[in-house]
Amino acid sequence: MKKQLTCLLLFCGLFVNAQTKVDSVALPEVVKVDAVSVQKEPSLTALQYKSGKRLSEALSEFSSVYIKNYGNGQLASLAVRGTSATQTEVQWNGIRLNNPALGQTDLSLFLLGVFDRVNLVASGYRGTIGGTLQMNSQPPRDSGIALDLLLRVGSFGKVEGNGQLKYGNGRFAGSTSFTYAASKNNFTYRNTFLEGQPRTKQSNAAVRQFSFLQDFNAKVNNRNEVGVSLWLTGANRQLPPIMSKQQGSEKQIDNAIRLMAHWHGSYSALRLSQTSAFLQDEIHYINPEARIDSKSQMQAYRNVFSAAYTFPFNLALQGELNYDHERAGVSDYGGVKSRNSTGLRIYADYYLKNLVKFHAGFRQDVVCRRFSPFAPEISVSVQQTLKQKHTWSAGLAASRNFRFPTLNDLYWLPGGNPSLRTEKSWNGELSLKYAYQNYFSVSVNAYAIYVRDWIQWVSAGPYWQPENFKRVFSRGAELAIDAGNSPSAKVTFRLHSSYSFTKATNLDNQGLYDQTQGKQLIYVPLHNLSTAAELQYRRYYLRLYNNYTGPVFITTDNSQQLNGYYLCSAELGKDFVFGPNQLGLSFRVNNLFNTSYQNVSQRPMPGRSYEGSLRFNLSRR
Amino acid sequence: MWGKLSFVLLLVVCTLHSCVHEPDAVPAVQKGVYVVNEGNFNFGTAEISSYDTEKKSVVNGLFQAANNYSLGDVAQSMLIYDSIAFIVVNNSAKIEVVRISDFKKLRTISIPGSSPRYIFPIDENIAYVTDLYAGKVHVINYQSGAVVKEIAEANPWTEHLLKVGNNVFVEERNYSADNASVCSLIKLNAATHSYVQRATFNGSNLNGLVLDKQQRIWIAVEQDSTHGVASALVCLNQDLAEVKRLTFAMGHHPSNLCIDGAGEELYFLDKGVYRVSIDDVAAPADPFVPLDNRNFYALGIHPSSGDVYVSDALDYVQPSIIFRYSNSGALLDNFHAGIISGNFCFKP
Repeated sequence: MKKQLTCLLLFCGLFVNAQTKVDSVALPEVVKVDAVSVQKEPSLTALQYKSGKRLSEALSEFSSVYIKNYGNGQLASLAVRGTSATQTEVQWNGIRLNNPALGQTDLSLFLLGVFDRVNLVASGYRGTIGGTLQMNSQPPRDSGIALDLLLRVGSFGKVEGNGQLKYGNGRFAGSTSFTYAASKNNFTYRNTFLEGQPRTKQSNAAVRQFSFLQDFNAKVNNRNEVGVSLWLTGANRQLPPIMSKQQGSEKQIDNAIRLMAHWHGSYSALRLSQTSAFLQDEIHYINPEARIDSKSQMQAYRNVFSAAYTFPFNLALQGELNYDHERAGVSDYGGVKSRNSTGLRIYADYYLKNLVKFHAGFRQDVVCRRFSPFAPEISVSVQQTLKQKHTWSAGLAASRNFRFPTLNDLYWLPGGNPSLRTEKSWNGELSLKYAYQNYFSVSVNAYAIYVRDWIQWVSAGPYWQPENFKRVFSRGAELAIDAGNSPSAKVTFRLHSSYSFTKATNLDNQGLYDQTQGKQLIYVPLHNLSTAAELQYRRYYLRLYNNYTGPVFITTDNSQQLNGYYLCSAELGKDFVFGPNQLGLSFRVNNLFNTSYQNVSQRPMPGRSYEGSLRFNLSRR
Repeated sequence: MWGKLSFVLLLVVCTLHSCVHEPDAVPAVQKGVYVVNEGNFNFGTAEISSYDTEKKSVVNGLFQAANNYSLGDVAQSMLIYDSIAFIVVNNSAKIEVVRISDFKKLRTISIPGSSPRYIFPIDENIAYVTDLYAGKVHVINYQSGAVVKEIAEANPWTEHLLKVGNNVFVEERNYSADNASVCSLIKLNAATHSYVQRATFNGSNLNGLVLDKQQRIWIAVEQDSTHGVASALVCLNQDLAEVKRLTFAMGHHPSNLCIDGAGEELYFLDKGVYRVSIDDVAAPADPFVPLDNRNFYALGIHPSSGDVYVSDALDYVQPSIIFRYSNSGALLDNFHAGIISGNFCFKP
């Protein structure tokens, strides 16, 4: 049983369906984009302060998204609005990164410092049941050279470094980034699971990882632009034992190669683009105790062709054609398995007097000659600005979405189930937003997601098998507030706060004695609150990051739960400006109140810790 | 004045002292069952439940209540021996030894780096412990907690064990029944703690090991679908030679092999609970208790009453439900235990 579970957990993310939800700032668009970060804008959520950190850490601080995290540098998965991690899509420059075998993506493997922008789209975007996390990188469009360097050292052997060089002459542009992060993670915690609750030092938890990204763009002429990108990531992670187990020697090595080429053409009202990518993920899992030394390799070739035509009467018509080939060499498949998929999405936007936007479209995929459900999407949004100060907006959207089974779901031996149906959902959303100039904004989203044919691994006699097991109804609301005074004031103040309420329940009992009907899904907190605040005076700044994560249930009948927790971190720093160049120094205290907590049961998290950063930005025009 | 003050202070101190939580003593179950709840792997939710059939009362979380700390991760099995009980906690690499009268811990036997599954005392000091990964049987002194020897001739995964006379028989399991065509059983000498012999069988795995009243060993052999070998209950003598075989049709998966207190009736799980006499010559066709859309996970037969206990693990992430049937197949009652109830333990 345990052996089977070890393997299934490793490769399938099995029975503990990581359920979470998202924070979203409503825009008057169908797609609600939470602009988590914009590097060049002096924002609270500026990525430049986060270089070297993991994407999962930044997302947790900037938004009320819930990330299921097994520990510092360990597996961190994102799911949105009560859907699962496999129902969340992670993209790089529009290309889907989800591992074709596992279906989900480990956000701990993405180090910041190589992306220019990260967006989190709430749900129901382009056929995706859950959220879509978009990571974008691109060389500068202007001439000049810019160099960013960062070094951060901290408690528990933390060392993080980042270097990014951007260069361009108006026609050719490039960007080279390298990020390194390491930590021993040998913190001490009170082990509440052992007799006498002794102070215990975390063991076998060291992590080393790197990320290298090279972008190169060229303007062929005024109409055409081409580019290539190479992104390499690697992680060597010890996997710490749970609190009820004192020793462990598990280890996992993750390596990824991602190569991308694109072309953009702009011909008056017609815009065309083609992006092709080769993605390769390797996972090497070693468990000496269980005599497991397992290597898996997953590859994907992905292609997206898109065309957009804008008519003179405020109508824009767009289409996207995807062609993907996925293959996985996993020892438990009994050989290499592959599949092809094709997808077509067509949609139209019509603007009425720059006041109302109508959006309608559909998506249809074919995977291995099996058709996805026809997935329509429709929305209407309204925005109006009064006296150039008050801006009101509202939006209403509905869409049908789906997810095909992963290669593990189909081919794992034993248990893989080739007759699985696609998961299907209906997503609906209402959003309202009010903004007073750039000083204040408040937005509210209310949503409902109905998912059926939810895939789950269940017992099938002597082994486990994925089945279209349940129906889930998720509904909730998200509130976001941004506030600040004039940037030209002597003392500036900024606040970004978001709150999520997520009620995601199982709709059916499986048999007479099952007690899960109407119960909250496990690892989906009802409440999540995040607040970041900044006070700045003469380039000195003080930032406070506060996050409250509500309790999560760890049994499907909601009889046992993991306590909620409040975390606060404080950062004090100063930026020194020398013409176009900048030197930044900062000191930060994480988990200021030394809160003892677990994000995942039995996985201890560190108490109070310290770190100092040195940042240097050089720019030449 | 000082006298009154001292009295008040003494009262306060006593009151405060009484507020300090002392673990409760948990009375032993006289007639009934202990249920070993595995808990979810890596969740640390292993626990012991008890059910008193006379009072029809269930107590969950016995270990925590009696000892004020959690049992650990994945409780695999429990065995009562005289006045003590051994609880084997697989993923915490330990065996908790408790006094059965109040369930208080006597000692914790840790076997670093191990993954223990079942324990069997062979005398007043020594017990054998099987292991999921070690490829050896641990010989431990359960009075001192020391590992005194390792019998290294075993396959990587050893499971149930049985002592007959001066020998101990150990079930060996394959990790992936899908790729296996041979399964095996080993015989150990309990006096010298040494390997004696191994018997192999056509089939992909062994799923249980019991002793009948004629001192014969019964094993449940899982089918090998690749080579068309059907599942069977195989009866062996103590030299591990086959005495007889009850063969199933393909598609049956007998597991959790148990035997009643008299050593006459075999019980096992397949598509329900099945029963067959040791004197029968064919595998049973119909279940003793039909599955009825339940997820049967563990089986136990009370040695004196003959009551049949079977757990329904439901979705494995909520408390299991335990059904108690009479030996005539009538449902007597049911109750909720802990998460993934995987083993039943009875007072001999």
